[in-house]
Amino acid sequence: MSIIKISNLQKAYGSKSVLRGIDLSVEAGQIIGYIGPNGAGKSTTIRILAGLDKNYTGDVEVLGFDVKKDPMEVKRRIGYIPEAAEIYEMLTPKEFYELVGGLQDLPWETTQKRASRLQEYLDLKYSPDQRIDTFSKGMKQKVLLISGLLHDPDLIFLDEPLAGLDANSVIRVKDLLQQLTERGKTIFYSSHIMEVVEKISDRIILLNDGKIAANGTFAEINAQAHSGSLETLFSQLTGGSAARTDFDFTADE
Amino acid sequence: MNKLFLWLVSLFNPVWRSIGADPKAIYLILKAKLLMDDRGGMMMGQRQKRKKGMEYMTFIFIGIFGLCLVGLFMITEHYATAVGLGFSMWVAFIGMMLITEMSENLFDQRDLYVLLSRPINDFTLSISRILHIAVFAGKFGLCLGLPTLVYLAVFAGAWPAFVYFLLSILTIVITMTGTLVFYLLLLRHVDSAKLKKIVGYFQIVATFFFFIAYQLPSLIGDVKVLQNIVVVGKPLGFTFPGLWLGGLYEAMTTTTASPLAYAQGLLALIAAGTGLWFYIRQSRGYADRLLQLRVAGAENAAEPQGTTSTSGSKSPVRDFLAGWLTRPNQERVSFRFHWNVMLRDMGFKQRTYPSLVYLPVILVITIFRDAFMGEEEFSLGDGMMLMLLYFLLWILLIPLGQTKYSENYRSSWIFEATANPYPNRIYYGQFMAVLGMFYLPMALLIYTAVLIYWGPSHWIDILLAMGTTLLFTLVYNQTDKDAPFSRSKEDAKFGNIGPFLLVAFLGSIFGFGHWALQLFPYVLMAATVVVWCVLLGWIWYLRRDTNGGAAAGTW
Repeated sequence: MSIIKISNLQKAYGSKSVLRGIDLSVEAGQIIGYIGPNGAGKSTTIRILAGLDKNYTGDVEVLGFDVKKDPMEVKRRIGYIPEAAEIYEMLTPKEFYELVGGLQDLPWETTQKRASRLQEYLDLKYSPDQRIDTFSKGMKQKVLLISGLLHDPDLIFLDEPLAGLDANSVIRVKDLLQQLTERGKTIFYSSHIMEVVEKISDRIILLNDGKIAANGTFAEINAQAHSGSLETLFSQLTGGSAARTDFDFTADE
Repeated sequence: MNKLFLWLVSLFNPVWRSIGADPKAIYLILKAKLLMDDRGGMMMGQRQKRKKGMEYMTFIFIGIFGLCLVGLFMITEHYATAVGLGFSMWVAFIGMMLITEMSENLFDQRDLYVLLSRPINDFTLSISRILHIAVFAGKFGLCLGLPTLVYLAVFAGAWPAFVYFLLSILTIVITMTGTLVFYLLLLRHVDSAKLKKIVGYFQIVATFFFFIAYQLPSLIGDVKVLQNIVVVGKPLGFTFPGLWLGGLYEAMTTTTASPLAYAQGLLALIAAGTGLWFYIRQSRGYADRLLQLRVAGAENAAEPQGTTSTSGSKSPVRDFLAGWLTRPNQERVSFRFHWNVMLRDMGFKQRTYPSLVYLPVILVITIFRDAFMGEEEFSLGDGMMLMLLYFLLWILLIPLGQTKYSENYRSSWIFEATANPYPNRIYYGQFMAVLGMFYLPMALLIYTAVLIYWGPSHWIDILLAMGTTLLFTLVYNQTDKDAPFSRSKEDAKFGNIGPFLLVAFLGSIFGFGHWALQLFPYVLMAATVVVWCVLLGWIWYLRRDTNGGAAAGTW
């Protein structure tokens, strides 16, 4: 069953076209690696899918709901963890979970139980009354991740979820994502860390210049390009060229 | 206007160079900061709209106030005194504006890593900061001073007008250095972890005193007392910096200035010179201290800490009121969230608390003015009672208005991204949190005072005033809808003006209406019933279990 259906999605900021007719269908229970160069339109696509941006043309359905018409139904069922998102740092994690859980209409007991389990799993430790503004970047990222999972969403959008995490935490998060897919959840994962995307994704979608440049498993895409690694493949498909060896930016001075 | 100020700043390049600062860097930093001032922030990939209209309206109001200052020349024929009194108002007004709106720019650390990784010294950094603040003060000065400048050019000639222009700059320098040097001293001598808190509370106290200074002329009551008053050139002319500038005006525009006027003029020059010298002297080590300020209490907790000074969570008063005023759903979540942020966000306190000071000062001055002037025995009539009762509208509207702004406005993405089908419950919790934190303690005090002083028979007045206050606060909250703490703090610069005007307008209308209703039998009772019915109906609407077609999830 397709849980994401996108047909001819187009989006422009003023006269600048960002998404130029995307067609996409995603099955449940997969980890989708959504990659592309800076400015390709990845975060814009995710914002549209999460029901946060209605200014687009085309048809977008998430979990059977039209995101333009029923953004509430979509938001109820998805988790959204934006890139470098700010959180209310003067709150304690518990207070922040209370806010997010409350907004998702979760009973406080459920919020507490789930947050506590996720914290334990991600090895997030702090003193009971400690505020988020005293946390390290990695600890804040864990709080953000947990807050996005509290309502046990069926589809999770993650935009650079590993930013700021140390090596051990990266392993934990990767494991967590695998376990979520085993429970039937779908992960829509955007990142610039090709190594991780290559390893954890069941399917990779490469966006370039507002269009889908590649779509399939790593093996399928690699079979066409014979590149060996996702990094090289990425470079080939997005027009990246090898660095000039004679480059000197002060040459004419 | 930014180009004009940048040009003016570049005129002083030799001065900046002589004190060891880099004029080019100052120009570039200032240009970037002014550019950023004019732009709204980004949130969720969308640019926030700046509320330019409110800013222009503020400048128009200041211009009107500047026009009123021309009236000083009608009251006294002694131009130096009129100029001195006018500048005294400037000092109080601009000082207050600097403290409430701009002083945190001195401690702004957001651009610190960008700047400090470049070859920029302390003087360049601190001068670019004070000039950024000076541009803000300059805009106010321009609006305040233009009417007087035109008046002097027409009625006194070009030279007095030019002197007035120069003295305007000197007034801004005195006010700025007088205010900001204290902050620099704090920055040098106070522990970084405590500094923000101390500055926050200083702002509140200083605003109180500046506002009292600003209101002092109203104690005079009858302007006839000022007729042909001469202060400048007299011993009284030493009492306030603004009057020293009057002395300097007299010394520069007449040949008959008294020695005292010369002394006052000299004092003005010394004040400006010393202020600048001291500011520059205190700038040494400015960058290091700012850096320490940034590090203090942030991003230093890779490992869990045993104890922390910034603790949260426990608050019996919050929990009691939350249990009493809200249901255990989004209402309570919103209540607790607003309560916590209001209590912990220093930015909120800095914007809100000083504004809350204004009205009590006006109230006290109004209550005691006649007795103070010896015009009559101290007495309080029904009018004063109504004024007191409707004063509570202020206590609700100012903090409520500020719960829409935040330095961390980007964090409000969470309200957009989550599926809350009952946005009205968030508004209700927001309203109740403000009510619990600000209104309830003050209301208890005022209602008790009214019942004791004016008598228990006035319970109906209390009930009507309470109902009207709560109802119109809800109306205000409904008309100015947005997710909590979701607007940039840059937009909050004039965020109090809207509620201020609303309170000034509604307060007088309600007070007068209430007074008029007292004249008719039973009408007060009927009005109370109507107001409370509408109020309770509104509250029911906010709290109902269905969203009733409300744009759920949209703010």
